[in-house]
Amino acid sequence: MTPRCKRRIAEKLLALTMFATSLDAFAAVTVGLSTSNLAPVAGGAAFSYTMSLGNDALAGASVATLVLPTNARFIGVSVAGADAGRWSCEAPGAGDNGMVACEGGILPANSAATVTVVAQFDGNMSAGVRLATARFTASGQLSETQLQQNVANNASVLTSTEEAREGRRLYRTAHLQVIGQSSLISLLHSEPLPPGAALRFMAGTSGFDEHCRLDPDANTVDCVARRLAPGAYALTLVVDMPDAMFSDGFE
Amino acid sequence: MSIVRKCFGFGRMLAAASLLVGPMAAQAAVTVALAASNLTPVAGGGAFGYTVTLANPDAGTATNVVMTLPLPPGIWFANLGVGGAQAGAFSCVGPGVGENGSVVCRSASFVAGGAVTVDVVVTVDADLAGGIRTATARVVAGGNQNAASRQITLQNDANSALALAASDAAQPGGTASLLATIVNNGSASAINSNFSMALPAEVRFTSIYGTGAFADACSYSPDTRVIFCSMSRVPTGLHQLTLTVDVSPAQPQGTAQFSATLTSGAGAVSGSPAAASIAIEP
Repeated sequence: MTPRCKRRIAEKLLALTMFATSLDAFAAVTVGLSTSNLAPVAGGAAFSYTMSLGNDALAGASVATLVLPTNARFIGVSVAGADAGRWSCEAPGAGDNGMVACEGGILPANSAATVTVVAQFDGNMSAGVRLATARFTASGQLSETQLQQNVANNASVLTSTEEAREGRRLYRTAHLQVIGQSSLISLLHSEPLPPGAALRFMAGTSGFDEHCRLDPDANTVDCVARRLAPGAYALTLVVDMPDAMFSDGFE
Repeated sequence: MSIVRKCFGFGRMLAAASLLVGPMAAQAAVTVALAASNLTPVAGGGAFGYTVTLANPDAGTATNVVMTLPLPPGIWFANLGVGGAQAGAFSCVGPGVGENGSVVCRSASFVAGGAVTVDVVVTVDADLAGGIRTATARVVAGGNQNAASRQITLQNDANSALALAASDAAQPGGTASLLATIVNNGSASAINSNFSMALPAEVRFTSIYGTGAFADACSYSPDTRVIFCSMSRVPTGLHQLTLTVDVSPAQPQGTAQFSATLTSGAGAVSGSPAAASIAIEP
C-alpha cells in the first residue's frame, strides 16, 4: 500500500469516525407511555403499560425503565418491534411492585421497539391517583414521561343477621359480604347487645373478630377494620340474657 | 469509493467500516431451548429443574448475549448452575431463594459453535390448586432474539382425612365437647375446603376454638344450628376444631348423634361424613 493510499484511507476512517461520533453524541431519544386502562379498579382486571422507544440516530448505552406506581403489581413483560432483539428486560417477581429495566445496548438510527408491561393494582388500596414513570436514556440523552391513572375502589358491603334464643341464651351471627374486586376500606360495624345481657362468646371468620371488642359502657360489640378483602365474613356472638327475662331449660 | 477500490477493494472497505460500526452489523444469533425435569410437579412437592440450553451455531462470535427466564407465578427460585464448555463466559443471577422473579444470564462474548446450559432449580408453592404454567426463556444477542417455552402441569396431591371424636357421656345440664380433626397427608394444601356440622336437638352451642386451618374459619348459624367452616387452604398437617356444647337440663337419657362433612375444591377427602355420639346419662 502506497503512502498516499494510507493517508487517504486514514482520512476516510477519520471522517467516518467523526460522523458516527457526532450522531452518537446528538442522538435524540424519545419515550412514549400509554396504558390500556386509564381508570383501573383496585384488585380488578390486569392492564398494560406500553413504552414506545425511539432514537433518531445511532445511540449507545440505551436503557429504558418503567417504575410501576405504588400498589401496582407486576405480571409480565414483552418486547416487540423491528429491534426487539436488541432489548432484554428484567422485572420484579410476579405480584411484586418495583421497576422494569430494559437494556438495549447500541441502537441503530430510527430503531423501533415497544415494551409492554402487564400489571394489576392491589385490591387493598383506596381509590386515588397513581403515576407511572417511563425513562429512556441513551448516549447521555434522556427522555422521561409520566402517565396518570385514576384507580377506583369498587368494594361495597351487604350485611344480614341471624338470631335465635334458646333459654337464657341468645345467639346472633352477623354476616358481612364484601362484594366487588377491591377491599373494603375503613369498615365500622356495631352489634348492640340487649340491656343487661352479658357477652359469653365471640368468634369471627377470616380474623374478623380480631377487629371487634366489647364496649362495656354501651354494651355493644364494635368492629373497626382498616380493610376487608372481598368475601364473606361472619361474627358469631353468644350472649347470656338477664335472669329476669328468661328462665333456663332450653324452653 | 474509487480511492477505496484502488487501495483495498470493496471487501476491505466493509471490514474497515465494521470496525467503526461493528455493533450495528449483523451478528451471530444465539439459539435457546428450554426443558423441564418434571412436567407434572406437585404443589409443595420436591424441587425440579428448568434447563436452558444456549448455543451459537453461527460462524461469528455473539456479543452482549442476555438470556432472561421469568419464573411462572407460583414457582419459586431455589438455585442455579451454569455448565458447558463456555460456562465461564456467562454470569447469571436469580431472585432470592424462595422468591419468584427472573433468572438473567449475560455474556459479553459467546464464541462460534459454543454451547452452555443453565440449570435452574425451583420449587412449587404448596397453596396452588394445580393447573398449567408456561415458562419462556428469551435470548437476545446482536439485535437478534430467540425464545423457547415449556409448559408444565401442576398437580395438587392434598389428601384430607376427617375424624370426629366426642365426650363419652354428659349429664343433663352439663357440658360436653367434640373434637373435629383434619389431617392433610399430601404435600399440597387442600384448596377451598368446607366443613359443616349440624347440632342435634339435645345440645346447644357454647363455643368453638380452631387451630390451623380451622382458626378464624368457623361460624355458627342460629337459624340452621349448623357450624360451618370455610377454609381457603388446608396446609399439610393437623388441624383441629374444638366444639363445646351444653346438654339441655330437661334432656332425658339418650344419645346425641353428631355428623360432620368435609368437601374440598382441590385435593382428595376421606372419612367424610364423620360421626360421633355423646351418651346422655343422668
